[in-house]
Parts: sequence; C-alpha cells; structure tokens
Amino acid sequence: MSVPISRKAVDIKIRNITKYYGNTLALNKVSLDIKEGEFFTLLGPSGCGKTTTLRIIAGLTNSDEGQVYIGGKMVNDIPAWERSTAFVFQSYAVWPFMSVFNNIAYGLKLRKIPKNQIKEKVKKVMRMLGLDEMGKRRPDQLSGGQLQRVALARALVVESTVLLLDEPLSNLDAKVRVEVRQEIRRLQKMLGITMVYVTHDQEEALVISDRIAVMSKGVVEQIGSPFEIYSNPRTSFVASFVGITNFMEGRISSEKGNMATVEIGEGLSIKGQIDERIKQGQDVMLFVRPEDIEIGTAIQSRKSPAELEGDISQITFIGNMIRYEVKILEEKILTVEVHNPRKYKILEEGSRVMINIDPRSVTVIPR
Amino acid sequence: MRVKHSWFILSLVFISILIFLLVLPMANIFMASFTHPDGGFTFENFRTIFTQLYPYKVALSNSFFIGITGAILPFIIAFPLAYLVSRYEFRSKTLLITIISISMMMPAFIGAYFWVILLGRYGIITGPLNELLGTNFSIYGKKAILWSFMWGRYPLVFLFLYPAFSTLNPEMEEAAQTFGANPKRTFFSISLPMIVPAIVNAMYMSFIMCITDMGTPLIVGGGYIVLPTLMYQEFMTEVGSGRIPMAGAVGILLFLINVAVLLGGRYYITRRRYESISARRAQPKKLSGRGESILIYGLWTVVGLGLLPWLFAIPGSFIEWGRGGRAYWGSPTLDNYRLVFTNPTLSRGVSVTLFLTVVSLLMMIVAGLLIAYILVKKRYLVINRVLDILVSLPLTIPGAVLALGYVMFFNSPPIILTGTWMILALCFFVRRLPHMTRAIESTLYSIADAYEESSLNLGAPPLKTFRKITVRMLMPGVISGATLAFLFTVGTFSSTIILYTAPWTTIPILVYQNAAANTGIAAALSMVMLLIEFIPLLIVNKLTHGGIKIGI
Repeated sequence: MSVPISRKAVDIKIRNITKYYGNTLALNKVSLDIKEGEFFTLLGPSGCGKTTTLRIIAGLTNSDEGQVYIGGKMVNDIPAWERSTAFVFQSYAVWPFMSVFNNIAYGLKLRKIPKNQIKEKVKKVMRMLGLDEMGKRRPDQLSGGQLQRVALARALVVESTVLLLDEPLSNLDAKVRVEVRQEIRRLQKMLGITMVYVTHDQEEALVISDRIAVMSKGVVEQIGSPFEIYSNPRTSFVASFVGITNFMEGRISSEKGNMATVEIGEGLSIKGQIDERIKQGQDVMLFVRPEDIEIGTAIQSRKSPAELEGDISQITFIGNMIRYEVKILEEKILTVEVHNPRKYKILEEGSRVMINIDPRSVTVIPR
Repeated sequence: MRVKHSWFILSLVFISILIFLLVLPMANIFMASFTHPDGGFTFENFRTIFTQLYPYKVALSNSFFIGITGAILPFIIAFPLAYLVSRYEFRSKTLLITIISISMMMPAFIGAYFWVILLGRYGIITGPLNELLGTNFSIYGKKAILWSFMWGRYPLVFLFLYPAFSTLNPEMEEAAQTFGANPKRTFFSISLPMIVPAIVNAMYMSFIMCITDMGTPLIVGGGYIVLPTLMYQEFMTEVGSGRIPMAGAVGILLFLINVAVLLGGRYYITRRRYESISARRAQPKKLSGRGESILIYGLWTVVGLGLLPWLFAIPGSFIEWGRGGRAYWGSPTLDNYRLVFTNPTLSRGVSVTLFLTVVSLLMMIVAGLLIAYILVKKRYLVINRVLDILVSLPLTIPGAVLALGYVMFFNSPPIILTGTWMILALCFFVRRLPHMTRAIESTLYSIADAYEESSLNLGAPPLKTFRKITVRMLMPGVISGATLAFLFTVGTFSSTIILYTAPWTTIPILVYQNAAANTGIAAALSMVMLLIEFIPLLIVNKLTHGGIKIGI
C-alpha cells in the first residue's frame, strides 16, 4: 500500500450522487464542482445530507449511484485508505490511548517516512497550531480546543491533497470556535489545499468559505460565493436559512433585463432582481432583508420615489439598532431594521411611514 | 431526632454483623497461619509453602499456571465471537447473546464433569474413537481443567468484549482509514488498543475465577493440585487438631493473590477509561443470503460446542451408566430420577439446597435493602465508608477461604455453629450480599427523594415510609439482585465442601460424591439443579416481561 505524498491541490467532482439509508433518500442526485485550492463549504440543517456527502468523498460511505472524481480520477472503487483524503471528525476521534505526538505521527508512520523526518514534521505542525510542548500529553489531559487542534494537526501533517472537515467546531465554545475558525482559514490559504467543510452554522460558512453549497433534504439548493448566497438566495429555503425574514408573494407585471416589477396586491408593486427563470406574468416570491429597507416620515434620499406606505405596528429597541414592524397590506407586515438609530429620528408606534426599497436588494424567485 | 437514631443504630448493627461474619473469621485464619503447631508465633507455615517443593510450591505454580492460561484461553472463543456479533446484524442474534449470558451462569465444575464424561478415556465421544483408532486420547487432569475453563469462562469474557466492541466509536477507526490504514492495520493499531481496558477487565476476572475454583480441579483434576485443593487437603488432615495453621496459611496466600490481582485490575481500569463525546455508534452490518447463513452456522456451532456437555447430560440422565462413565445408550431408564427423589440422602439434598438458598436469600434481601438505603440516602461520614468497604469485602475473599475461616471461628465460644445449617446459610448470605446490595443501590440512585418526602409529608413515619414506599419502588433492583444471588447460591461448591456435614449436604456436594461411581445419578442431580436454577429465572423473566437484566 502506498499513499502518495503531494502538496499539489486537486479538484473534486461529484456527479449525480444518490444515497439511500434503508428507504430514506439521504442524497438525491447531488453534483458539485470543487475547484483546486478552494475552501468549499457544505451548509445545511442536520439531516440535509452534508455529512453523508463528505463521507462519500472520503470513501467512508458508499453511494448508491453517481461518481466521485478526485483530481480527475474516478475514485468510486478506491477504498478510503487509498484515497489520501484527510478527515477531521466532529468528535475529533483523537485516539485516547496514544500521546499527542503519536496521534499526529500516525499517518506519517503509515507512509514509511524516516523517523527523524516524522519528528520534524510533527514538531512543525504542532508549532503551527500552538501545540508546542504538548507532544507527550495524553488526550484526556487536553481541552476541547486543544483536541480539535490535534485532530487538525493530524490531518494537516500528512499533506493530503484534500482535507475534509465535518463540523469541526461544533463542540467548542463560542470564543474558541472563532479562534480555531480563523486558524483553519489561515492554514488553508497558506497551504493552498482543497478543503471541504461541513457546517450548519451560516455565519461560520459565510466567514470562512470561498464558495458555499446550501443543502436541504438531500438536494443542493444553491452554490455560490458567500456574498451571492447572502444577498441573492435562489430558493426560499436558502433565503430563510441565511436569515431573511421578509418575504412576499406576487406576480410579475413587467420585466426588463434582470429587473422586474412585482405586483404584491392591492395595487402595490415592488421592483426587484430576477434571474433567467422568471417570465412575464409568473407567480413569484420576493425577499428583502430588514436592514435593506429605508423608512421615514418623508423619504429624504435616493432618486427613486417611495414605493410603499405603511403603519408602524410595533417598535423594538435593541441598542445598536431599532426594529419596526410596518403593516403595508392587510395581511402583510414588513420587518425593518435601522442600524445606528440615534442618527435618525425615532418614529412612533401607529404613525404613517414611507418605505423605500432598493431594487438591487430585492430577490425574486419563482413560486 | 429519634428517627435519625434508628437508622444510625441500624448501620452500627450491620457493621457489627459484617465484622462478625467477615473480619473476625478472616482474622482468625490470619492468626492461625502464623501459629506454630505448639502454639507460638511463627513464619514457618509460609516458609514451608515457598520452600517445600511438594505439594506447596507445585500447587502455587500450578495455580498461577491455570490462572494465567485460564485467563487467556477463553479469548480464543470469546474474541472472534464478540467481534463478529458486534459487527454484523443477523437473524437469531439476540437469542445467541441470551444463550451465551445464560451459559455464564452454569456451575463451572458440573460443566467440567460432563466434559470429562464426553472426552475422557471412555468418553462418549472419545471412547469409541479410541477403540476405533487404537489411541489413548483422554482429557483428564490438567488438560480437563484448562479445557473446561476455556469453555466455562468464555461467556464471561464475551460479556466484557461484546459491549466494548459495539460501543467503540467508529470514527476512531475511520480516522485511521483516511490516513491510509487498511482494515487489518486499523484493527491492530486502533480497534484492539481501544478495547484493552475491557480485555484486562475480562482477564483479571477470569484469572480470579480460575484460581479460586475448587470444584473443577477436585472433580476432574485427577490429583492436579492447586491452592484451593491444597487448602482443602490440609484442612481435611488437620481438622481433628483443632487449629488449622497450614490450611490457614494456604488460604491467606490465596486471599492475598486474589486481592492483589483485584486491586491491580481495578487500578488499571480506572486509569484508562476511554470516553468520547460522540453519540454515534457503529451500525452492525446487515448480512443476508450466503454470508448470513455462514455466519449463523459458524457462531451457533461454537456456542453449541460450549453447551455440548449439557446437551449430552440431558439424555445422559435418562440412561444407565457403567463404571468409569460408560454410557449404555441402549438402556433408557427413569431410575436416576426416581433415586434422586426416593433415596433419603439424595432427596434430602434437594430440600436442603432449596431451604438454605431461600433462607440466605431472605436474609440478603432484608440486609441488602437496609444497607443500600443507608449507603445511598444517609450521610454518616465514617460509618458509610466502613459499611461500603465491608459490603464489598466478600468479593475479594475466595469462598473456600471464607469457609475455612467459619470452621475455625464458629467452632469455639462465643458462638458454636459448626455442623449446623446456620453456618452454611450465613456463609451463603454474606458471600452474595454484595451483589444484592449493589443491585438495590443502583435502583435507589434513580429514585427521586420527592417520593419519600411526599409520603413523610402526608404523615407516614420514616420506617413506615421505607416499608410502604421505598421498598416497593426498589422491587426491580431486589429482583435482579436476588436472581443473580440465587443462581450463584444454588450452585455454590467451594465453601459448601468445607462447611457441610452429613445432614446438610447440598446438591453440588452430592454431584461431587456421585461423580465417579454413579454417573447417572450425578447427571440427574445436575439436571434437577439446573431446573431449580432456571425455572425461577424463567418465571421472573415472564413476570417482568424480560425486563430483568442479569449482570455481573
């Protein structure tokens, strides 16, 4: 058995992967293109199939249908131990009967690397991760954050072409999580390896990734950069998962290029961004973030005139921002957030307000 | 205030009883072992054991030999069995595990006896083979001891290894695989080291059971001398002399080895307890078709082999037997059973066994309930600690050694009990008290104080509350403790052989007495004993809908 050692990053292609657990469909024709040297995140709630996808890339789980290519090579029939993908587990899976040093050196020993080189490499990665002087410790003497670093060091030291991380931070407390998260990103950039990262935490995914695939119920909902995912969700699932609370139903009354006007009822309409899926007269859903809505007694700024009017039904003061619930239709209340509220006049409950929404911050998707 | 006192006084009473039943008899042997035949203090007895080759040094090295081999051999069977059962899902899996757990409760020395009936010189299997091939194959003596230890202890080892394998975090193995370890390498470098604590646990438990076993070497050892049988011999030759220094020295040695191994094992285990935060467990692989059939046949063949002596003993109890264990399959008969129930000695043996078991069990239940309650709910600093240690103490004392202590201690004033049924009942009681108390304790931990407090609040005085509320809620613990204690007590041999007198002969002793000359009667007695053991077990299981777990 020989495990190739190479620092060269590789790409990963997944084609139409389907996986059943008994009668439950865990993955439904999932396809992904992960570029070499990319930090790619699989984001979704638990049970969405993200971990299964990761395990299929590593060869720890077999798919029922579809192909996995690593570095252009089909690996479906290659067992996990010959794939050269390092894996970081949610439970760390640091071997409790081995010292920290031996945990990290395990993969190197398998690669038949001379002893002095192993020592050197392990020392180096331990320094890189702030584990100096911990080589002799036993895992039960380490904190969660340190264990996670050992798991990471163990995966990095073998210089795999692909590093797979399954919710590596979910068992850490908030402060350590941010620390380790930045460390992972820094190392990935420095080493230029391809990383596939699984998380259910949208903030983590946005901060850390080059690109994100949002998954739900075994299906990839959207793939895009953090900015795209955040500002232009293409499905209602993605919109709600990345925290958009304002959504409205309507029908396209006119469209031009990537802009359209959407009738939302009672003669009101909102302009928004559309993609190629949207046609004239189509039933659609539109999303807008609370902080993208301008509000005032008389709209002072912007070239476009006020599109909507409404009554403030509730006010919540949250220090650095103020939240208004504005009733624009009999059945529709918009949430509006004004940051740094002391710069503006605070509006009163029950007062009539003008609402202005930048069309570029409104996402329209087919219903 | 008065209530507090009643529990406090009760705990003092229990401490005194346990000191009386454990500490004083042991102290007695200890003193005796340092006593010169003429009365003075001496190291002579121990010096003899360590210097005189026969029988002392021989028995010592024999004991270590069968202890160590007896700790290792069962792994040959239990290890692959536990691994396969934990890794694969197949039909009849639950039944297989149940059968293995039940075979753990089979009295070891009777199993050994039937192995020799099967594989001895004129054995049911080996006899015809020897005749056919002109060979002289036979398991007897050392070979028979080791063989029956292997089959007798493998269920115990299995019950340690199986949970260890099945709770192993699969990510530990998967991590190794992603670093390039193939399954074989993963097994040896990760899985095996991960279950070392369970292996050590099983080994030292098995070692202790083998080294303290008196029945097996006595019945099939053919003069192969080990420490318990040596002690028994010394005891039998010295019994007239009043003090028993040499037997005492051997007993103390056996006790010390026991304690050392027990403490060493415990120390090791507490230092390496691997816990992981993962909730994920390995899913046993589902097998079907050919693979499943092969696995099922393989596993049941092995488990079936372990049951072979029992499977032969059933028909064996319905036929006539010649001398030396020659079976006459052609002459079926009910005589063996008729004798068991009509012969005055034999039938009395059955009732004596039942009587002693029930009496000691009742004592265990009462004492176990009260002691467990004090240990869990009361906060007497020193008292609780002392009581806790005293309750565990019987686990460290080999039955034969404790029995020796009883013979010595209860043979002279203030209390003379030798030759009575009480000495047997007390010994049975105290030896299984730990099992009973611990079983109740663990149930007690899960009962909220609120149940009792609401009863007190409604006006029931504390002892009445204990009787009416606590005891009822503790029934599951009592039943599981009682079941285990019952199974152990009915088949107990090593202490009985030293303590019994003719009117108070139990079934295991009768089996031993009839083993050589009356195989048919020994077989029938064994069957009666198994029925006594397992009919209550079945009833309890039915009543609790299989809810009672028999653990160690």
